[in-house]
Parts: sequence; structure tokens; C-alpha cells
Amino acid sequence: MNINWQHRELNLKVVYYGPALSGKTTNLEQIYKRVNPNQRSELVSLKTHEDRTLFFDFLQLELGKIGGLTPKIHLYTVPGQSYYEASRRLVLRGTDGVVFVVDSSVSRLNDNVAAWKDMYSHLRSFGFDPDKMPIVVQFNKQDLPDALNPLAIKNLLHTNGKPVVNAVAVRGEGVLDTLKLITRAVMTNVQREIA
Amino acid sequence: MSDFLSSSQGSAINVDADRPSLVLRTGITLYPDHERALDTLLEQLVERCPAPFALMADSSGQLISYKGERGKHDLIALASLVAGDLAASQEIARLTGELQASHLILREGPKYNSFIADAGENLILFVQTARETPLGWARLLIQYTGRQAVNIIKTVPAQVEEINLEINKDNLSDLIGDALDDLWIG
Ligand SMILES: Nc1nc2c(ncn2[C@@H]2O[C@H](COP(=O)(O)OP(=O)(O)OP(=O)(O)O)[C@@H](O)[C@H]2O)c(=O)[nH]1
Ligand SMILES: [Mg+2]
Repeated sequence: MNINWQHRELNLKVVYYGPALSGKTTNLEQIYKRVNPNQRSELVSLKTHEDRTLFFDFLQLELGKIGGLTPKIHLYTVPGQSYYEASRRLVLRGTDGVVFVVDSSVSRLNDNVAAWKDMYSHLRSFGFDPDKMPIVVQFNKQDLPDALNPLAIKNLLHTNGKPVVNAVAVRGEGVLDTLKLITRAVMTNVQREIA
Repeated sequence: MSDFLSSSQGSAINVDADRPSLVLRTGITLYPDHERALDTLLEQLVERCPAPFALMADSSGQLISYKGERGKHDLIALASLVAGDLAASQEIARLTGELQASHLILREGPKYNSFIADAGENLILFVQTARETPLGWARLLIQYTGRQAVNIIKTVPAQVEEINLEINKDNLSDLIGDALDDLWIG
């Protein structure tokens, strides 16, 4: 988070985290496509030749005035493939909130759990209490025939009351709801800190 | 070490005691005085170098100031990439056991050279120079500018403008929901 008093801007950072191919980049692509072009930046994607995220995707959204401030939300994705661990940690650093994108396919169960634990340990390594970090869990790919039902995933990850959203990100379903939930959670945190 | 894609940790500005809440967990706070001073500093760098383009961002990739011609959207993307580039390079140094006090990345092009340099833990400079400009001279100026910038953000502005944040509202949640709905064209 940083505040620019001159322009009364509040800059917030949200990271889309999750296992490989869960749909993190797809979320940003959908947001990019569906928001007013005057209120967003270009979509920056550092990716491999196979369209896999290599370092991060980035998109900035500018909200209309809220109270005295213009919030700008910086959205990032991490590279999900396991060997990009170091890059993932770099991107996660200093975030104000996390969207954890679950791949609901039953075959990806272990990958989700591993990524979840991984995220927790990174957050702890920065000195954050992960349970105080705003986190929204998106159950993506609910359209798959072998999609786990949300309750099963909740139990598996121990999401403990964190907000959850069912999504089919490729069709844009649940993408805005997720964004709303995380922005609210982050802003509520900010409000507590600077009020 | 600087803090990729996040605003600084650590050296937040120490605002007077009755407004301690402004010293934010992860953030730096730029006051109008800071911004003006940083802007002037960048202007001087560009003139003395001379440099056709220069940009200052925080380590999270948030644009602070720039000089030269560029489109707005392009700039936001550029700042995020500059921050990513520096962060990757710092991490490479760390992994290879080189503890470096400061970082300077140089790219030599057919027409322009470009430098990415850290300025303390929280700020980043990106500077393009003409091929003819001596590298040593540019490097010297960039490092000088970096040190000056660190000094600027270290100081507490004498008079901090009272600005009401006005976000202590009960309906904050609705306001955000509305703002995002407005953004969405589907
Ligand atoms: N069936 C289905 N496929 C999806 C959905 N969302 C994304 N996908 C597909 O899943 C694949 C991977 O999506 P990405 O968004 O690139 O995944 P990622 O999480 O960014 O992957 P990495 O960058 O490797 O970590 C793509 O082929 C998407 O089209 C969904 O809701 N349902
Ligand atoms: Mg991706």
C-alpha cells in the first residue's frame, strides 16, 4: 500500500495466487476485457512461449473516488508452476490481499493443497500473520465434469470462514464477484489502519 | 534489499505523533513536498545527463515521476516492468551470494543506453541516455540522484497538510461495490 497525498491516491496491491493452470492469468484477462478501458492500464504479461506465466501478469485498475481518495488497485498473478517458487515469492511480497485461485478438478487436489501451504509459508516469512491477510478463495473451473464441490474444497484447505466464490473464469463467471470481495476486504483493512 | 512490487518496508516517514496512523505497515507515504522535490531532482538529472527519458517509481512499480515523452498507459506498464526487472536482478545477486549495496542494470542499444538503478530501498530510477553519453558520467549522475532522492523521502515535511481521508464510512463496502460495478462494462 502507498498513499500519494498530492493526488490523493491510494495504491493497493492484490496478488492472484494458486497452483499451475488454475486460471490466475485468465482472471486478469477477463477483467482487462470487461472493464472500462479508460480506467485500466495495459495488461502486462511476462510469459513463456507456451503462454505460461514466467514472472507475473500485471493490470492496474483505477476506481472512481471513494471518500477523499482515488483507489488504484494493482493486480498481479504469480507463476503457478512449481519451479518458479522464487519468482512467486517476489511477486507476493508486500501484497495487501490475495485471491487464491483453486483448480476445482479432483485430479488437482494435491496441487491446490501444496500451493495453499506454500502461500502460507511465504506470507509468514514476510512477517505477516496469514490469518490477518485479506484472502478470498475462488473455486475456479466449476464447469469441469470432475469439479469438486465447494464444501469439499473448503474442508480440504481449511479456509476457515474466508470468503469464497464459485467461478468459471474462462466465461467471466465469478470474476467480478471475486474482485469485489477482495477489494472490500483490503479496503476494510486499510480503513482500520489509517482511520 | 528493495522490495519488489510492494512499497517499501521499514523506512516509513515518521509523521508527528498525533498522526502516527499514517506510518503504514508496508507503505511509503509521499507528501506534496516530497513529490515536488523528487520531480525537480529528476528534471535536473535529465538536463545534466542529458537524458531523453527518465522515470522514477517506488519499488512496487508505482510511478512517481517521469520526464520525456510517453503515453500514460504505457508508463504504468513500464514502471511495473522496471520494478520486476530490478527485483529479479536483486534476487539473482542474493542467490549467487553477492550481497550488493546497490544495483545498477545497464542495457546498451544501438541508439540509446538504458539504466535501471535502485535509490535506497524504496525507489527506482529508469534512465535512457543517448549512445554518445559516456556511461561513467550517466552512472555517476544516476547514483547521485538516487542518494538525493533517499534524503528527500527521509525528511518529514515541515507542514503536513491536513487532508481528511473520509474513508471512515460505514458504507465503505457498498461504495467499493458500486465503484467496481461502474468500472465493469461486461
Ligand atoms: N474449463 C475451464 N478452463 C479454464 C477456466 N479458467 C481457465 N481455464 C483454462 O485453464 C488454462 C490455464 O489458465 P491460465 O489462466 O493460463 O492459468 P494460470 O493459473 O495463469 O497458469 P500458470 O501461469 O501456469 O500458473 C487455460 O487453458 C484456460 O483457458 C475455467 O473456469 N474452466
Ligand atoms: Mg498464468
